Amino acid sequence: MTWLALVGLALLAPAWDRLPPIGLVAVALPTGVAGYVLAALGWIAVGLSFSTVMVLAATSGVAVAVAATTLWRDLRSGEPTPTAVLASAAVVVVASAAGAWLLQVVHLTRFTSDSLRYLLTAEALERAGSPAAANVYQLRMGQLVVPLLHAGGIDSGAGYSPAIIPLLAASGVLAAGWLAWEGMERAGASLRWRWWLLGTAAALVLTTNRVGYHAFYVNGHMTFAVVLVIGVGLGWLAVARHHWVLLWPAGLMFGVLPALRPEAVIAGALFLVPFLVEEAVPLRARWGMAAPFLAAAVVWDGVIWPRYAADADLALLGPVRGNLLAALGVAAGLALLAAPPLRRFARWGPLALLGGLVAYLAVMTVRDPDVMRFGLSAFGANIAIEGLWGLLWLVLPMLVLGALLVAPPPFCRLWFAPLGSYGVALLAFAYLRGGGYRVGTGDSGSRMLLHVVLVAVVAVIHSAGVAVADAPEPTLRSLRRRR
Amino acid sequence: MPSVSPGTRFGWFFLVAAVAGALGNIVGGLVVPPSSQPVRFHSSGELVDLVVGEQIHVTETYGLYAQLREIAEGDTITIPRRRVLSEHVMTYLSLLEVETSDDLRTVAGLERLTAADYRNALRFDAKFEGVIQTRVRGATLPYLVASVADDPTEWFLMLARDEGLVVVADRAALALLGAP
Repeated sequence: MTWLALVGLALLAPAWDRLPPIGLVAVALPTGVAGYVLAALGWIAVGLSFSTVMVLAATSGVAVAVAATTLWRDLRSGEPTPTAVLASAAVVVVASAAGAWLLQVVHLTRFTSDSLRYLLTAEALERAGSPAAANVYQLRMGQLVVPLLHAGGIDSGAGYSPAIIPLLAASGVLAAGWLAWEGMERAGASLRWRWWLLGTAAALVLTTNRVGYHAFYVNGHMTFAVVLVIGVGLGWLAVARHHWVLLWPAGLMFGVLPALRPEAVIAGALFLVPFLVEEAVPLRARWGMAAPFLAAAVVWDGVIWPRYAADADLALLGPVRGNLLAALGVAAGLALLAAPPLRRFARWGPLALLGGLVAYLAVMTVRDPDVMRFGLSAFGANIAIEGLWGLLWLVLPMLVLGALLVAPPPFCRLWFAPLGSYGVALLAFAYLRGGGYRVGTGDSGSRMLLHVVLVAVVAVIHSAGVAVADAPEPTLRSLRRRR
Repeated sequence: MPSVSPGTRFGWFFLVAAVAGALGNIVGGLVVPPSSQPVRFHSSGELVDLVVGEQIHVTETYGLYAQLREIAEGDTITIPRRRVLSEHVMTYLSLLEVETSDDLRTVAGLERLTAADYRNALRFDAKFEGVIQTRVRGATLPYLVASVADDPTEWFLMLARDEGLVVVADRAALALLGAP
């Protein structure tokens, strides 16, 4: 884990001078994981026998090359290497080593039957050196990223990697806090307001049963939530500051998605496309951000998965080629933006995606209304009580709505627009996956809500930061005065 | 009285809603009522009621799940509240003796349903296919597991019948399966 975090820190080298120490610490492990996942996909695609150690070595080689190139460039231009990097590295080493040790000693992991199936794939991967020995169905439903994350622990005493998900969760929460703070600071919120908003939002999220559960659950949901909030957050920072180099680590985060979950190409595209149509971003930087996502989708859905997929999955609009087509559609759309007359249509891209989802949903609802009926009913029950989300999904939508009405933050289209589309997509996924949702914590629809929790929270904090920029300090006295 | 801007109102609304939500989460987590229904185990074809809060003494462990949960022979486990049952049932399945397929067929209701019936009825085609593929490929599941009280529509019936195992369900789930 410590090694992965250091690899991530090295991969972040081009952006070292653009990130504060807390940002470097928060993003290091997820970046290392992203590098490792992308390297593993490439490794398997070219037919090499998979081994965690070998893939990690290859990832480390790339990371060292990236860091060395940056250091060499800085040396030649006379720029000092940011000393914050060394301090961040020290914190990363101590925190990840301590976390990994603690999680070995204290048994906090949560398993379900899904977890065991992920671990079966991980075992097949590590033992056989390819996904060939894995169960076809599990490969479709579980994909490859979670097994990749645990493959290194198969031969350990635990039989999996107990620390990877909790440490990723900690990174995600830290990153969300940092990104929220950045937004409030940019909006001009006072220090006291910033602490209050961040503290209360953290309390809301961290007391939610399912958030705590997923932080220790062997599955892919927390990983999704973490890479998504960091991907969107770094992308937002890049756009807000015109620091295009930040699109590199943001893009790496999106690169984890295609092989993480079956619906992740579509879900990822919803959050990626707003950046790809952002006029301020140079076209080359947009390609840089999209490249890991597109490469991972092409390698996984176009090369690796078809080797092992069942025939039924290989239909044109099935899970394999359907995902590949979606990724190629994103690439085609981006390529078309090279033609100046088409650029003015770019901003309609996210809306077109949403329109496509709504149209699909409408057609499918007419054809099979039961899935929609059961899905909505299950969503309602899960959000209210059965999903064990506590009050999170009662409070958060109110805050999102309030934020949009009262104080939409700058670049709100990067945060809120995809959230709306994701809500529609969740219903569409019920049809795409071939069955409706159901009541209970194990329901996919309920679990997929976790993916956007951190993004939604950061977005509403940004809004709140804008809203209170000119507000009196939040003290009990001011509250009494208001009354 | 000075007028309050909409931004300030939203700021306060945010703070109050978030704090109320957090308190609700904490209180809600503490006061989840335990299920009044006993958890029922089919073991050796007999119905066994295990009441929430009851303690069972582990005499035998089986399978990866028990290993991962670090549960060993000699441990004492308390039957959990229903809300957290889904997480724990596999533990008990791992702990309790594993029946052979022949024994399992004596469990009422299981033989009456075919996979196709179940598939058509419950729209979980893919999961059934997955289980079938697992068997066709000759893979051995490290756990012989049924399923969960709050999730009776899953694939466990298929596993139960073909792999031979103890079925765990609450009364509602058993009713769904057609068991007495």
